[in-house]
Amino acid sequence: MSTENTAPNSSKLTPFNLIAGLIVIVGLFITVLRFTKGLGAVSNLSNHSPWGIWIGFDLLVGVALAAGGYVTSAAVYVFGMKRYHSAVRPAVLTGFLGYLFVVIALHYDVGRPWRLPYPFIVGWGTTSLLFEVGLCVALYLTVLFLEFTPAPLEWLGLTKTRNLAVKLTMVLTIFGVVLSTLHQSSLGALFLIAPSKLHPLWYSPYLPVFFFVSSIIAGLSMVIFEGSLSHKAFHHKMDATHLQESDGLVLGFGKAAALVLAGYFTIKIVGITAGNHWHLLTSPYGYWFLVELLGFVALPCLLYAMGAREKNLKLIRFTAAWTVAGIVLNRLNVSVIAFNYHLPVAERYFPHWMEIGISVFMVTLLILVYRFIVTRMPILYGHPDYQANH
Amino acid sequence: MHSVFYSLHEFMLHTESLTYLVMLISLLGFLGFFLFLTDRDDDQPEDTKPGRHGHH
Repeated sequence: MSTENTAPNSSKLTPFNLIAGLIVIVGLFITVLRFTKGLGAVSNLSNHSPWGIWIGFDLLVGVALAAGGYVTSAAVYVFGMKRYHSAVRPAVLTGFLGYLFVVIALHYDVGRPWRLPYPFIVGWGTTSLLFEVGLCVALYLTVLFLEFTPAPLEWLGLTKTRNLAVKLTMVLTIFGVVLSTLHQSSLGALFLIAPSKLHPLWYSPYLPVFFFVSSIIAGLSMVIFEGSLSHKAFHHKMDATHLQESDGLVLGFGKAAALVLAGYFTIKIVGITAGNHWHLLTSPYGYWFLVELLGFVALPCLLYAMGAREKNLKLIRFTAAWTVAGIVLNRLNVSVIAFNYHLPVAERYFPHWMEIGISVFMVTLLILVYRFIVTRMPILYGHPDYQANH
Repeated sequence: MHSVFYSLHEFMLHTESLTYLVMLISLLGFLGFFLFLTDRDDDQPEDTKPGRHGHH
C-alpha cells in the first residue's frame, strides 16, 4: 500500500501532459468563442438538429458511462457483495466526475445557460420529462458528491465530518439507485416524442427500458475498463486489498455484464418484433442496426461469458472496452445517426470540428481531474487512519 | 416478409403472437446461456471464489 505518491517518473513533460495541455488550450479558445459569439459560431446545430454531439455524446454517453457509481454501490451496500468494496470509491469518483462534466458540458449546449436553474426556482414543469431528467441529474450529482466526500475528508483529516458522511452511505446509495433508475430511463423516454424523426429500428415504446438496462451494462463495463486503466496508470497507488480484489471484481462484473447483455439482446429483439420491423433489417440502416446489435451486444455478451467461464481476465477487460464503445455507438445512433434519417444528406447534421473539440476537451478535463484526485486522496487505497472502518 | 394489415387488431394479433414466440425461445435460450456461463463455477480456483471473504 502506498499513501504517498511514489510515481517513478516525476517529470511533468510527459507525452500525455503535452497532448492534454494542447487540448486544454484549444478547448479554452473554443469556450471563449462559444460564450462570446454564440452557438452558431462553433456548432452546426440547427432547427432540424438542435441536439448534436454535445447532447448525444457529452450528455447521453456521459450519463450512461457514469452509471458505474450506482451499479457498484448497489452491488456492495444493497446486495451485500462486500468483496467488491474496494471498487466503490473509484466507481463513485468516476460517476461523480462524469455527472459533473455532463452538467458543465450542458452549459455549452443550452442557449442561455444562466437559466439552467429556472425549472427549479421559477416554474416547475412537472409534466415535462426534461424537467424530471434535470431534477434527477441535479439531485444525483449532489448524492454522488456526498458519497464521494469521505475520501477528501480523510485526506483533509476532518474525522468527525468524515464519520458523519460515512453514516449516510446506505441512505445515499438507495437514493442514488432510485434517482438513476428514474433519469437513465427518462433519457431514453425523451425520444418518445419524436417517432417520426427517429428511425423505426431505434425508435421503440420500450426506449426507456433499453436506456436503463443498457446503463447497467455501461456501468459494469466502465468499472472494469476504468479499473484496467487505473491498474496501468496508478498501480503504485493501490493497496494490497485493492490489488487482491481486482481479479474477482473483473470476473464477477464480467459475468453480471454477460447476463444483463443477454437480457438486453432479448428485449431488443422483442422491440423489433413488437414493432414488426423485421423487413427493415435488409435496408442500409438495417445493416447498421445489425452492426450495433450483433457486433456490440451479442458479441460482447458471448465474449464476457467465455471470459467468465475460462477465467480469462484479459478477454473480459478487452470486452469491457468493446462494450463501452458499443454504448457510445448506441447513444449516438439514437440521438444523431438514426435521428432525422428521412432528411436529405445536405440537411443532415454533422458536428462542427469545434463541437468535437469541446467534447474532447471535456473528456480530457475529466481525466486530468481524476488523476489529480487519485494521486492525492485515498481512492485506490484505504487511508491508514481509517483501516478499521473500511 | 412485410405483411399487410387492414386493422390494428390484425397488426396486434400478428406482432403479439410473434412476441410470445420470441419470449418462449428467449427464455429457453437464456436458460442455456445461464448454464453455459455458470457450469464451470465449481472449478474456480480458490483465489477467485466469490465466497472467500467470509460467506462460507
